[in-house]
Amino acid sequence: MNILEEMSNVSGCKGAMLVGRDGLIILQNMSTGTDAKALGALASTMYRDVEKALSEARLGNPGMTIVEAVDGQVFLVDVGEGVLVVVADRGVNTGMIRLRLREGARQLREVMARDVG
Amino acid sequence: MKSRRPKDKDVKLYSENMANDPDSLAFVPLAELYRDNGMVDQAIQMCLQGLQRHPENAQARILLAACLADSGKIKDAQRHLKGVLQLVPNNKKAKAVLKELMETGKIGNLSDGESSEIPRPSQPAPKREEPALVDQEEDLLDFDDLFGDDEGESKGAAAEKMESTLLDDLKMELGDGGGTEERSSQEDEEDEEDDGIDFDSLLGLEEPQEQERLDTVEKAMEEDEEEIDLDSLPDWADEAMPEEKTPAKEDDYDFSFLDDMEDDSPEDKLEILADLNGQDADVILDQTEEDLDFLGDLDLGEEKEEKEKEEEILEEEGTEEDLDFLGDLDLGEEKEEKEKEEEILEEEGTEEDLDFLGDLDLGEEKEEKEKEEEILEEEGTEEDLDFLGDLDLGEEEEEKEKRPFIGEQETHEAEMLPTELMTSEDGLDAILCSLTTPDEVMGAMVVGSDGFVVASKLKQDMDLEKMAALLASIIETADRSTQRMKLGGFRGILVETDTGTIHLANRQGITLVVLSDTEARLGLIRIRMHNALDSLRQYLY
Repeated sequence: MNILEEMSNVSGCKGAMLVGRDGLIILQNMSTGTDAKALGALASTMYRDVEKALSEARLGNPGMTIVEAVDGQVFLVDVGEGVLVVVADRGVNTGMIRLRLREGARQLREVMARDVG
Repeated sequence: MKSRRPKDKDVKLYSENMANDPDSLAFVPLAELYRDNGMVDQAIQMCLQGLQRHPENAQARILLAACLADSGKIKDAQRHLKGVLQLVPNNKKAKAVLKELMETGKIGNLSDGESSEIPRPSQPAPKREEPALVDQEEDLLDFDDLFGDDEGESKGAAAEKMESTLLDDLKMELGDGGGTEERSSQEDEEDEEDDGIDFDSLLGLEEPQEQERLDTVEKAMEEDEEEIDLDSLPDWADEAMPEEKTPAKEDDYDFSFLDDMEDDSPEDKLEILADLNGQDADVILDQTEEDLDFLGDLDLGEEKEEKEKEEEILEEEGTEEDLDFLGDLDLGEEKEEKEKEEEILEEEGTEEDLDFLGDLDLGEEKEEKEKEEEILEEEGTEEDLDFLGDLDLGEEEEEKEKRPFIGEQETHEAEMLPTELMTSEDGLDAILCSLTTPDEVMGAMVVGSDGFVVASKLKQDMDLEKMAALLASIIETADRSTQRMKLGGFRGILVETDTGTIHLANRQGITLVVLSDTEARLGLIRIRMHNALDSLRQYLY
């Protein structure tokens, strides 16, 4: 949970959540008023589609995926049993969020592998 | 007055010549024959016709003036004489005829056009057979300001004196059955003595004493065939020196234009000739290219030939723009080319026109071009060159200014900005090339929202159609998701894989995909994709 809080505290981030491969929320630290369930399901679906496409195209396995929209960005990172999702405003320091997310994903993998596995 | 027919043989000869060659100058002797035989109207007509084709022919114009004077059209005669003198200030013949007119007092009785016609006492005013042509002559330059109209007061008295003068002339012309020879000998005599006569001094003659003075002058001419001694003239001759003693009369006969004639430019002379002939200067120029020597410095025909030669040389060697290709020649050939050009320039003396060739340094240009091509291969666009800072664009612009013609093609290649590429057929490929130039980029492609490939440039074999369809599927999902997340429309995706990075950027249904390795500079690629999308939008829409 601390990892998600740290991620949510990055400037420009609206919140962070850990979603399972099935689209169900494992952990979430989203700002109030956000439909976390729907967001988790959509993020999981999107990540699965990207993974499938890359596999079919023989472009390897997806690591971090950044989806840019008009009013914000969605960061998706594989953490083993689930997908770390971070929602941020548009125009934020994408590079900084990317670095924090990479570090947070590494920590979550370790936690997931230790606790779940 | 007994009118003699011109010699049939000569008339036939000249007429045949004129018929065979309308541009022939035979009209001059033919008109002279007519005039010598009293057929003044035919002479005028012949002169007018000939001057239409040879407006520069001073001899014909003087003859026309003489004929007009014969027929009483003194003012028209003066116009033509003045025109000749404006063009050729030292024309002795024109001066002689003008002097004759002044001696006979004809120009002293001018008021306006029609009233200047003084019927010959022994010959009725000839009926004009070609009114149109004569009217045209009357519509020519108005020299009233030069010859003054304020002498109408003595018109009556002068007319009487004119009759007697003309009678004397006729006697001189027709006397002893040798009128023609007599006249010609008199003209020759006057021509010989023209230098000896102070031409301007005769301009100040006062009309009441005109006949007396004329008689005296003629007497002096008869006595001294070599030169008239003006000192021998009576006291009134001194008074006839307007520049010294009778300035008041200068207004009556303003021949100051003779002083300025030498300064007239050839173009001015041409304008005078055009005005005199009632034609455009261009028409006269075309008609008389071969006869323009008398105009002095004006030799536009030669200038035209030079221009044609220059054009031929340029065609042989290619246009100025084509000189770009000279950069590919060996320096030996290039040197020969340059020497050849210099020789041609020296021959034609037209270095000014081809100065720009002298400023070219094709060797440097070749180096510059090669350098730019190398950089373009590496970076793709000039924008990229700016980024790397390898090329000093300021120097390049200066060089382009120095090489205005050669620079055009080079500029077109060097400034291959995406917006300019929109005009070329390979625009899409060029845009993709600009994206895939760095080694860290493995390929780029443009995919439509329908999943079809628009364009692609990949460095490794891939199933383009499959990849395009999969990417379109990702885009569709991402767009739907972002919409439902209330994040607005989808704009792009950055997917990092264990083998590299996939960049997708979407705008107005066009998706640009760039594949790069793991070490790629993501920020640079994103900027280029942003610019490329702008270019694609302009190209495709």
